[in-house]
Amino acid sequence: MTLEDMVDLLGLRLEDAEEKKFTAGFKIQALNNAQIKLANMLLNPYLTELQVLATSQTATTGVLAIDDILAYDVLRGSEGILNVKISSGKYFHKIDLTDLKKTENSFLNAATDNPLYYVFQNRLYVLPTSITTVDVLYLKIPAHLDNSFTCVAVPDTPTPSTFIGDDSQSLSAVNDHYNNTVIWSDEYSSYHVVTGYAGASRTFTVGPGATDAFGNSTFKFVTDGFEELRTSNVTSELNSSLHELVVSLAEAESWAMDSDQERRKTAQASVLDEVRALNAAYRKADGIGTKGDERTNVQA
Amino acid sequence: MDVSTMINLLGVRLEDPDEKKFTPSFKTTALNNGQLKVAQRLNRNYLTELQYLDTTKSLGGVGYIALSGLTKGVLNGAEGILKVKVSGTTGKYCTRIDISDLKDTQNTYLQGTVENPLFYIFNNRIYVLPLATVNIDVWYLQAPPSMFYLLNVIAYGGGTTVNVEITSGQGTNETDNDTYNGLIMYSNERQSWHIVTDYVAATGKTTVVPASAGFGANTIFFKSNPYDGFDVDGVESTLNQALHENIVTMAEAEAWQMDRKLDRWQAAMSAADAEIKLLNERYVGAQGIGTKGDNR
Repeated sequence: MTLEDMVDLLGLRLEDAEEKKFTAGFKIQALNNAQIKLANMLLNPYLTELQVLATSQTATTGVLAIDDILAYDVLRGSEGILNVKISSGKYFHKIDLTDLKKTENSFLNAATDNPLYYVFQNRLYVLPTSITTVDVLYLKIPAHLDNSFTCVAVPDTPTPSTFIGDDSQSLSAVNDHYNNTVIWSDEYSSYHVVTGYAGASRTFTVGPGATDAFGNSTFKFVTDGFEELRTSNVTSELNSSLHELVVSLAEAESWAMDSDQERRKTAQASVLDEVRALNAAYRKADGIGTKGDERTNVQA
Repeated sequence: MDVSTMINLLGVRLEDPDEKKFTPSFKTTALNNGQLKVAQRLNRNYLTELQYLDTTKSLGGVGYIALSGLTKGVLNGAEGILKVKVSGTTGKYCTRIDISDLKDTQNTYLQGTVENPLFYIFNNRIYVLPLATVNIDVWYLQAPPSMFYLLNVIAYGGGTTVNVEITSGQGTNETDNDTYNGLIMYSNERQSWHIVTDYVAATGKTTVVPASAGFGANTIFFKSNPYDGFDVDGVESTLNQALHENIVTMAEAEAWQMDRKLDRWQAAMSAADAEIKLLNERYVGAQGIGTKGDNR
């Protein structure tokens, strides 16, 4: 289901197909909130599309700052770290803070052959601290439902303050149409304000300039409602079987701003019931080795 | 979700987008209360962003340190203290005991020693045994830093390149230069967007592009986005992004409390609680090490 489909379906459910009461901007925000909430509540095996493997991450004296090193924000904090492995080595064993005291026991302390990790202060601590390179398997926050536009370098003389949009992406032909709006450069991870726009050539002039000349990359509109453009090109990262649940959760949030609270409760309850049913339906893998431990629980 | 988005979302949920009944100031307070409540109710493993480690805290020769002596405020009082360790590479982790166990420490086999240090919490203080312990490292959950929204500013500079100066005492960072560099700033006076290119913490002087000739005494707010990777205390909630909507719902419940429509209050509160309950239900602890039989 594309974002456009979701917005339209949500409009019908809210009995507001003509968008008099619930604007497209609000509905996109509600859908974004909903997909994060849904991912937050579901068991990990249903979220394989959000799983990321970050290889060869550097741990400095046994510490790896999650936000600074991993490419994506981690869903659920420490609960989003699924597994850690020494690069080209052994898998780590996850411990809780309450187990730290036990690591002082020589039979339980960490070793290269029995590495341990725990998460504290949004950092991943690995034991023994002599380990310097690790692979991290984690769950990322689902990507925000917004649309990237193509950014093309100015031919021959690329500059840090000018780039060209894609003619085929329905950009306006009117001069200065996007002036004073904010854009996000995916190339430089920075915000810029549009100070000039040539409609005929789709050329954007921005300030402050980027740290270097704009190349061929992508950008996003951030303000003034332009971020709602071209929703038909965007799809939630979650599995398609969960898309309807995302709409239902967004419906619950939308009814929160209406006096008809029964609709809110009904939508919310139906989603929670389905999430509980999915979580209850999950069957852990048989795994290997003898039973009696909580081996597979850790993965869930 | 940045604070400006939270304020706007809360405004439409309260059917008061024009802010006639619920002011931005009230909504900011409700949101700050909301994030505190969410943090208090959730399993602590969802709160890794609030974990804090204070190292080498002196016991001052009296064998205890007041919780107020820690760098950050502690969430949930004694329950927010996660771990205590004697400082130094050879320092041992302290075993937590209850006040009812104090009598047991008079048994020579159970008393606190350098090899078997103990700690307990009483009177908002962390007591460590043996008393001779000098410094400890404290692992704890901090109370989430307050979020701020509308900021009073005055102009500085002159001519065609007037910038803004954020008045002190509003919760913004006043110690680290360039904290807000790269963020989007909206001027309510000029009704225009700007990008912060320089920030002087001591004075609040904020240079923006494009500059304007028309800045005066008015208000601004900062904006951020889920994909920008900026992690600035106050502009966004410190809690994990996945919890931000729940904060808004909790704030919504608080706001409806001052209205006659108590069903709205109950609906919002039950929605927030249901999500927290489900999250706490689905938490599975680490397998840990060693044998079972404890509370791991």
